Amino acid sequence: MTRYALDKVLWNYARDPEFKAAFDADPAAAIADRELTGDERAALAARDARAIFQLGAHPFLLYSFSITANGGWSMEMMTDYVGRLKGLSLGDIET
Amino acid sequence: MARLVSVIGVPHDPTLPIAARMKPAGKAHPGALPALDCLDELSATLDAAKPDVLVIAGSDHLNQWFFENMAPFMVGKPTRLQGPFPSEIRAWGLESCDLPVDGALARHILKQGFEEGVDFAFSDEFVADHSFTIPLNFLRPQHDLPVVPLFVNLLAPPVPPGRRYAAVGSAVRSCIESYGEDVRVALIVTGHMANSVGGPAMLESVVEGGTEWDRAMWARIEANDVEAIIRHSNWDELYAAGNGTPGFLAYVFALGAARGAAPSYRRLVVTGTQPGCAFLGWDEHALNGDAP
Repeated sequence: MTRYALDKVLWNYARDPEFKAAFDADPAAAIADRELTGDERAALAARDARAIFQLGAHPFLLYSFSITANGGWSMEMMTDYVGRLKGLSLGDIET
Repeated sequence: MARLVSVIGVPHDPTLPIAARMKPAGKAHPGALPALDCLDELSATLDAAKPDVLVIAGSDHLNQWFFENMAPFMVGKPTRLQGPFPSEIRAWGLESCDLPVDGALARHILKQGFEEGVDFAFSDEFVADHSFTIPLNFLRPQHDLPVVPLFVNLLAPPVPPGRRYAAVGSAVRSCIESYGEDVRVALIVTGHMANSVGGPAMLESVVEGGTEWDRAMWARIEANDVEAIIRHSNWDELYAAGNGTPGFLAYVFALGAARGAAPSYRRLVVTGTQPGCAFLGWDEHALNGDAP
């Protein structure tokens, strides 16, 4: 179960400016030492909210990751985010 | 002995302080005004209860505590309650909050909790996020009372079932009432109704008239059917109504503290401007069954 590590990348990104800078410069390198699957690495590196959600990330953490990646919240950002999740259902998010 | 003189349940939606700031210039969204009115009315109710100390139960929203060490129920006992996080102040323009903590009452609740069947975690150092600072700043803008913060996990599964939140709320009341000082204690809890922040239904939970879940749960609240409320307050059922809806468990905590008494104040604001906002209050007479 690597969902904990997936969530932790999202959590670190939104809370740790140094990690965010490293991730923004080279996502694959920034998460190289994390215990993640190949799919999780690819979804994170692409900042692919839909794929990250489908991998079981906590929605609250995914949202704060997306807001931070956008440089802050905006209505446009929020509607784009919801659009990316369109049609998905809530799944198990226990770590 | 201490006496529980008020229990209040409110939301901590960060758009409400924004609306409050815009209200004097007439620029607040009209749909936020009924919620601001409820907060004003409950602030007056709290003032009328003449409390000496406020116990407040809120969530951390995964701001500082994460899955490496997650407590379902925690007593905070630093010397001061300070917050919110700088990022929250930047994002929403929130007021800060810096209040003394009543360490003696906090330690009594922690230790008496063990006797009452609740093995609280505890923390001597943390930041109080917006779920603490928004209700405190709205309900007690004088900033003149000491507080005891209690953290409840509303967001990071697995979370305990609703009957545990009710039991812990009731136990906290027993702890307060066994405290040897002659003080009047108010309990504030903060959570929400249907809510999907970060989930696919984020926009669908902001709807005039409320969601189907909002209406069904509010009907149980209006009937004061605590047993049914608790039965429907488990992670799976709440999560299915929106990934943030388990935040309702905070209200279940308040119902536990009220021990079946009907609230003396009950309003639901579902204007579609923000997710449904529930406002509950029990005054001293409602709580203690004595005549006003």
